[in-house]
Amino acid sequence: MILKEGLQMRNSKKLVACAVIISVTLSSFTVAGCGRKPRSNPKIEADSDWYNLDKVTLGSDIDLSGTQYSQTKVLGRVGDCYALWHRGTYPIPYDVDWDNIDIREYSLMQLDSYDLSGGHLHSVDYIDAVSSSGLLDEAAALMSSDDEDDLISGDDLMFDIWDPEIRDDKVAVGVEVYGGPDSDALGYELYIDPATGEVTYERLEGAAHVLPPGAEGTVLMSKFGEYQINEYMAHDDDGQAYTMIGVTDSDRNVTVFDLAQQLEEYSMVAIKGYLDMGSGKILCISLGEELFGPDDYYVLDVAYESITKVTDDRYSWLESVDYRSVSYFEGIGNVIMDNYGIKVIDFENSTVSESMSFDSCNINRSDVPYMDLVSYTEDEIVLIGSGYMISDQDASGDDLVMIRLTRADSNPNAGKTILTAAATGSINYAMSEAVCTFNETGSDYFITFDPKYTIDQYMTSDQLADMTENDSAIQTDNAYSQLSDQLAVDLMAGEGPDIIFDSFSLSQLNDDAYLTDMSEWIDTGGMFGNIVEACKKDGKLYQMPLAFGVTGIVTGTENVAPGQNGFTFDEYTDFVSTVCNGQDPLAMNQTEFFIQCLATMDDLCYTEDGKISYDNDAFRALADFTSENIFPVYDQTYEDVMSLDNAGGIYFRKGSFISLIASLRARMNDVSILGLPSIDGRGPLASVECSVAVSAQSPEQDGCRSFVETLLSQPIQEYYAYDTCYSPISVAAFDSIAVKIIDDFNEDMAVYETISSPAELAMNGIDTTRIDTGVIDAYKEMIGTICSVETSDVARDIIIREEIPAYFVHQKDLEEVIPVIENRVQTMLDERG
Amino acid sequence: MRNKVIMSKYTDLTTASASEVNAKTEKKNQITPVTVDPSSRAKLLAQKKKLHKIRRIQEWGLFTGYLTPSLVGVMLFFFLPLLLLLKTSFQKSSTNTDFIGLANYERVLTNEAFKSASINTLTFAGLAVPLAVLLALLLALLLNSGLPGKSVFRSIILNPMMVPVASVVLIWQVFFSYNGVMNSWGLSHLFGAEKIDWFKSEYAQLVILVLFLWKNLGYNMVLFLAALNNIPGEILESAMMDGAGAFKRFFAIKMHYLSPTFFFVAIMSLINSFKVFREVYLLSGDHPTDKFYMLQHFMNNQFKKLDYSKLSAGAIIMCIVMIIIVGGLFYAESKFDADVEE
Repeated sequence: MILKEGLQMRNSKKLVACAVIISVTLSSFTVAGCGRKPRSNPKIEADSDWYNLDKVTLGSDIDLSGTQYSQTKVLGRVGDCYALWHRGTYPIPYDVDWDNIDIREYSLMQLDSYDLSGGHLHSVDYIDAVSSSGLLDEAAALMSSDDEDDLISGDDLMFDIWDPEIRDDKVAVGVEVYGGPDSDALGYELYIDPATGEVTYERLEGAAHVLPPGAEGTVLMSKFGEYQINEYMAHDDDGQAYTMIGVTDSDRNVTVFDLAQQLEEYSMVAIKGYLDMGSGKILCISLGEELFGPDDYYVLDVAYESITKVTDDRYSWLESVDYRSVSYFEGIGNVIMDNYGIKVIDFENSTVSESMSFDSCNINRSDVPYMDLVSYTEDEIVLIGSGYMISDQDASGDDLVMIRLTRADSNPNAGKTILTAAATGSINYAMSEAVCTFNETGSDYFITFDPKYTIDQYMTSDQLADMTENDSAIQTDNAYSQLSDQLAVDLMAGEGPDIIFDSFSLSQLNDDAYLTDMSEWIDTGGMFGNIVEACKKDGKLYQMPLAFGVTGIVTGTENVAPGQNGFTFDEYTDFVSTVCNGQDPLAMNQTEFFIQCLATMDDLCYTEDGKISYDNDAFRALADFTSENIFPVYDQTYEDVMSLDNAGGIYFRKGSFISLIASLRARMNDVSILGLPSIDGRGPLASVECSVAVSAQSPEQDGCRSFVETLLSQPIQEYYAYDTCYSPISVAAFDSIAVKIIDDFNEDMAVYETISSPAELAMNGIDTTRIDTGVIDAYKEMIGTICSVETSDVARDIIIREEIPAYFVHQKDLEEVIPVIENRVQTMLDERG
Repeated sequence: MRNKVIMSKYTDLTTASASEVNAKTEKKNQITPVTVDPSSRAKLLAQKKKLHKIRRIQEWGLFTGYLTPSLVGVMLFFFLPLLLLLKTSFQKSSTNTDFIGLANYERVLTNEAFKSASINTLTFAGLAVPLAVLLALLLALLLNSGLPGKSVFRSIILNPMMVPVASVVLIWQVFFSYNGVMNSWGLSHLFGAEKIDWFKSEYAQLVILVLFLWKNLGYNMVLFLAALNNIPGEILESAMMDGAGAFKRFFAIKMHYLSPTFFFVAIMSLINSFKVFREVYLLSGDHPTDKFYMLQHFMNNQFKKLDYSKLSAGAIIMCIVMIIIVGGLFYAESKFDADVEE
């Protein structure tokens, strides 16, 4: 019986085992076999969101280009107008009669108003308005005493004008009038109706600008929603400076928060911004106490006049918000803008959610940070500002533009195939302009941006907090390493973006599995061909350089031997000890120096079969040189390092023609740029700052190729050339902009000579010698000597950073260190496969 | 039977006398010849079958009731993940489910780092498992031989089991780092030898082998001790009386009784040797030198790189190798058991 039952149990077990095996096998075949259809890019639907863009240049009666200094503040919407406020000064000739000068003639304080379409309505000069409004005469009458000798007229009085604010569909500005016999000051408020230009005024009981007790001056004023925030500087009993915050509500009630008094422990570093939380509460965000650490948050309760520091992490979801772009709209709340769209801050759900994507319009995303969002409704979005400044030289009143985005009934791009682009860094002007041009002119493709692959997503404040200086490089490398891995996986899976910008430093991606070889697409004629060649890996061009910086050492031409392109280690030792008077222009610690110079000789560290090899003369010589000649840098001032006359040589890191002019000015005429120390004295190192790559898995290779051609076109390359950080890959674009930059510089020098006497120029160390256009050819010649491109592999750099210091501190021999680095790096490279 | 009837709760003692009850019972127990009608016989058989069926269903229900919780757990936490792993290993990536056949397996098997990691892991297991088994057995025999202070020694050897891995690693770093005890006070101090970077040299596996043994010997030893104590003393005594020496008694009797424990310890040590990654990772990070680079480094780094397809393929390959090794061990055990029974 027992045996029989045992048999029955055994049968049952067999049954269960069979069932399990069958289910596992069948389901594994089922799940493994259920693949998807090959990837195809989606097309734009006709009913998807689209905003038509209307860009209007805001005219003005004044010429801001003639000012020496000017500042424009967008006040916002006032009734059915938009109002802008300009403040600045015109250049005062150095030979002016200073005893009889009327300084108001050289001052600029003006209000400009525009209708909702951007048409100019009125320009009101505040100085004239105060004088002509009768305000001064009234003040003079009030200040004059009965004594006839003390009678004064309005012309005898002086006045200060404070910053304006919007109140009751008018622009109100405080005017402080003084200069009467009793030295009393009278407060007035001047009102301008932007729609009509009508000026009225009202006498105030007190002063126009009242500081709360203890405050010593207004640092900042900002307005959002129903509140106006004034920040005042104050000092506590121990002489420590701190901030007082004044909140003025719509009824002109002022609530002052004395932070040092009201907070148990005052530790606010610097206020980043404010957010209206509703219910009479304002969230004040300040920089955290820890460098790079999370922000600190304070809740200002206007009703109860209390301030509370938030001690938990309930607002950590606000970490990524850029408070410079915060606007407040009734019914919507706090709104921010970034490169990707407009987002709404929702305190109820603790989210920052996108409410409008810039993929739904053809706006240049680089303009956005330079503009104010003045109107935001479901159907219309209006931005006003200067836009992205092409260069300082071009800044003028004409740069003020209004961008109106109006919701379209249907998307005019319907039917176009979507190409997804990702930028690892920020979206620069040229990149964005290329996308706009491509989207506007092309009939088949439309490019949208995916924010998933920006490095910011991989750098959190938690990572950066508690970081020592030495750790920061490793942490940054780790973030790039993670980004590189994420891109590699997504690209291989065909899930990544079609187009990748600025991923040149992620050398892991340079593989057929991830990126398309573009060498067949690109005609290097008319480009800096040596840079393009240096960017190739095994003859394949995975990442096309669009613009590049140059890293080298700048020194006077007199210090350069004929035919010298760079420094051998011996030459560099001589250079530092003689020309630089013993002060190393590279001024970095041993590990960083080593990694930087190793990047110059990267091509020497691989065997023919592609294996890493540090067991070579270049590596040994660099390690020996670094160990013996490079010392920690202490107490070097900016002047020590950056003044060519003081230092003899300057470390030029990822620089461009424009940045060289900006730092060297007239010295530009007689300088050379040499390569970093290397075993063969090679020329400078190029660092590709802007590049484009195409996913090997993208089914839309033709569309991507067409876009790459747009990026290499002359207008877009010129936009790249305008940037101060890099030079374009197109020689023609470089030439045209270089000439313009030199002309602008020389014009500026002429202006300096007009407004300053030779003595003043000498006193301020301004050399107005013009730059000769010959420097352009010299710079291009230097670019021609570049034979290597910085291709830092972040994972490799982490290993080198960990191992090489053992040699520098004489803990290990080079014979011990090299195999370990080689071994670890090779294992890491093998792992990638 | 009679008592049983009397004590039955259905017997109404108030209405019937004991003699009446006895008479009734006797009548009931009388065997009377019965002529069985064939149709009623078939009925009886059908009833019996039905009863048998019900009984089998009851047994099945009981069996399934006991089994279900474990089965659900195993299916949910073992088979389902295994299934997903299998699925991922055949698809392009975790997000792109395109079936790509054995491409991921090809990627893994042709990867130099995977080959190196496999060799290192197998070499380590090949060294560590026999040593962990034999040394533990020797220790157990030593403690079982009537050594004075047996419990103290047992506690000392068991202690490493209770130390957290991070602390163990810290101790090892103190001893074996470049400026650690071994280099500062040991080799170079006593013998004037060159310093050795233990974690980055040829000796890296040796260091981790010592750590592995130090941490695992105690547990293995306890298992062997328990098994040794279960060997019947009378068999050993009779063998001794028959003139069998200690050597003969160990191999002829003790080893036969120890064989299940022996195989269990071997399997556990094998599994633990594959899990030594924790210690190695804490000692040397993501990308150690090649001698330190274990299979789980490869897996862990693929996980960090989010390359789940490659990771899954690697894991499946490792799983297959483990199944073969453990299966081999079980086969050897069954053969050994068969020899013992014979």
